[in-house]
Amino acid sequence: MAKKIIFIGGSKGGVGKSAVASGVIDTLLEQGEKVLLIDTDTSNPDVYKSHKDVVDSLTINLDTKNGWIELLTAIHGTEAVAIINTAARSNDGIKDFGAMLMSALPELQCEFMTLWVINRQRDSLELLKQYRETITGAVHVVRNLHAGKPEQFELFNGSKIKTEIEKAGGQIIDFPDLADRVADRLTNDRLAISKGATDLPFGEKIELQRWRAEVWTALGKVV
Amino acid sequence: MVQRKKYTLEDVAAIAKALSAVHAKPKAEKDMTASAVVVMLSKEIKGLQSRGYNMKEIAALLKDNNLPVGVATLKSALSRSPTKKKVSNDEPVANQSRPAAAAPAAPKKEEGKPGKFTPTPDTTDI
Repeated sequence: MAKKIIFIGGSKGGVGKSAVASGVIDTLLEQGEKVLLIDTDTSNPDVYKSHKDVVDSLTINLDTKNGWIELLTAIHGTEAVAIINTAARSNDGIKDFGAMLMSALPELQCEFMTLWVINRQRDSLELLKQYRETITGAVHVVRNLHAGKPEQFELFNGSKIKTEIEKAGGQIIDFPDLADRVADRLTNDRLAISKGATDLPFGEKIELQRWRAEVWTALGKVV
Repeated sequence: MVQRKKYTLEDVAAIAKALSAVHAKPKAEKDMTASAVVVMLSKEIKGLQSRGYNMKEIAALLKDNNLPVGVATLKSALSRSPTKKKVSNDEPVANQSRPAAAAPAAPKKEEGKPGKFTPTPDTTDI
């Protein structure tokens, strides 16, 4: 059975789930953990494409019941930390079938957490509220600083949902921003962070190393 | 000649109001088995399962609420819980036991869709 299950959520397109998923994978590898990546983004499985040669990887469609059955089987069959990168608009599948995962957790007997990635827009929080109606367990909110500085996340910072998350033991993680040209290079050339750290031109490599150290610090608090 | 009583619209409204206020006829006293009660509570029990409770814990909760039932009975009854119950036309609706509302079923068209997918390869001429 999986050592731990980490859902990378956000449901909203473009908030940075893939970047955070890549950061989580890299942080766990740096900690010496074995990782199973499950990419569920059927239209844009970019994390799978960047990491399929780096970690054990699967692609599963969580819009279908069969997908959730496959997911549970995969989680049950691994001893690695299972990272599930969810797709935009994944809340519908979660609402329809997420209870299957919840009912399996007592038998899986492993830690389950969600990293919910947000930008500064209201939708991020509305979708989080919906998500928590089906999925319980630890939820940590990841402010993607590509959208701005922490203090600029005004709606979230002053929200009831932030209070609820923190009261339930969740943390607020600030995911550092990476220079666009380096981020684009990782995505477009399908590079895992570890690959970029060896293959990128010198200047881009230095920027990546700076960011990578910050990612390890930020995500290392929870993963 | 017989004088027929006449009624006004106000009379009709008053009668309608009185009929609406009539309480439902009390259900006939009927002894139910623990299994039958579990079937009626299937929605609530499935809700507990989705919130992480296992069968043993649910049985303990039912016992705390004066329904001692074993795990085996619980599982067996839940496997029989109907999604729809045929309503008899003979009894007034108020007297019929209604099944717990089933969770909305996933669209049938999703059932056959595969769980895994193959990513579309990147093109080489972008």
